[in-house]
Amino acid sequence: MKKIKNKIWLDRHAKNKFKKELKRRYRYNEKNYTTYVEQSQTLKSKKRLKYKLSRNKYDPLIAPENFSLYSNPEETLSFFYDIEQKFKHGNPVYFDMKNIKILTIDTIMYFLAILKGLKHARIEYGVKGSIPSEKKCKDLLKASGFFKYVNSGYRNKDLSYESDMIQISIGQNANPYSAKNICDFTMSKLNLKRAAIRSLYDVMIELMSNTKQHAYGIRYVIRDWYIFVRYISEKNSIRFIFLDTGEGIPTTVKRTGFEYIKSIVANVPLMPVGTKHTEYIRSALNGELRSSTGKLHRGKGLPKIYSFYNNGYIKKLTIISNHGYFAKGFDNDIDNSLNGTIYYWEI
Amino acid sequence: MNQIMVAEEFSSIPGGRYKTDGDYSGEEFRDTCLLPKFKSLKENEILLINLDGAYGYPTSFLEEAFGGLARIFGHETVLKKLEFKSDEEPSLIDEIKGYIKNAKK
Repeated sequence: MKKIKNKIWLDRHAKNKFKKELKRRYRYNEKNYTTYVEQSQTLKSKKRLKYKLSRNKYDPLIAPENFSLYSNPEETLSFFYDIEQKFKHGNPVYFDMKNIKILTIDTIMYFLAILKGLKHARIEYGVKGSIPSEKKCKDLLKASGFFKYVNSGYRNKDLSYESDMIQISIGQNANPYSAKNICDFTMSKLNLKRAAIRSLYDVMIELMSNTKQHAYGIRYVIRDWYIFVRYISEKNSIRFIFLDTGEGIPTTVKRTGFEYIKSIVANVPLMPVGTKHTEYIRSALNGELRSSTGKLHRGKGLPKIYSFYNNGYIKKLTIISNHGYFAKGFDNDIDNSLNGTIYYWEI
Repeated sequence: MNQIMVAEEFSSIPGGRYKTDGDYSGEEFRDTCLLPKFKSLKENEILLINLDGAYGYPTSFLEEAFGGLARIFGHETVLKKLEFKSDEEPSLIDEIKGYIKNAKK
């Protein structure tokens, strides 16, 4: 009797075990099957993209003759918008720079920043291109250090200090070593003593710190700044270009309640009453309690830079940020938006 | 007299505000140089901060170092116990005193 009971229990136990095993196998297979399908689909799309890129069907995009964010922001930004859209849709682009007559390095820095952003977002893109036919533009492009950051057949020598420029450098933090190098370069070119470049050092660190502290919202993971410095022998002056590709001053600046309502209203078509982006830049420069941190002791960097401009230490200060274009003689918004902020100034 | 030669004892290339901003920040200077010496001062002692010899002093560095100290000990105590020397850029002294006076938590 006892034996029969045990046998029944064992049978039941074995049955249950078998059922469980079946269920487990079913779940495992189902899961594996879906993963397999997903994997094959991704592989297919990847193969398709690779095939698309390898077919040499590159959409030609011709860069404007005046390829400069500084002097031709509308056309240049519209060009970059087209490029970004093509990349995002997986269309390979042929970046035709042959016809460029005027080139400034801010544009190249912005282009590098776009490429880096796409790479970081793991968007696969294909880009080929040609260099400008104009000798002046071609030489500037080579000397700027652009080819350090892209795959090309051009050999790129680091000519900093030997030549009249410090090639494009990229950083994330407030880097005192970079600031020191730029100050050393300025001292040697303009024959200045260290006391004369103290304010420049201040400007450099403040801009780098701003990039780290304010320029990027939480959605931006890459916190990069780009800098390019060039000595202009004809004017015996040095030109600085600093770019951060964050959210831009008008976006990060702390708005008053009224301005916030105005900005919402401005998004409604046919009601153009929003505060202009250039006004936000001016306001941040004037230090009107606009630090995005909301702390009273913060947001002193831009006002300090503006004071250097007002007392004549730095000249030709120009700031482009989102739709804002702040410069002497041109204090107006532009139609196309720049993702981030570019600062230009001369000493 | 107690003294801190910033360029020699800390760095001739001061950085940004916080340690997370990069090397030689104002926060780092305050925590490693300024705070220990400030705390060790006796009742009537004064700490002299010599600012000469550096490439420059970024606004955020100065605010975090000295304004930050004032946020801990109060601006009156800090102004009473600190003295500044800057032959290369005398206007720095008033600037720093301004940061100390206006330091708010």
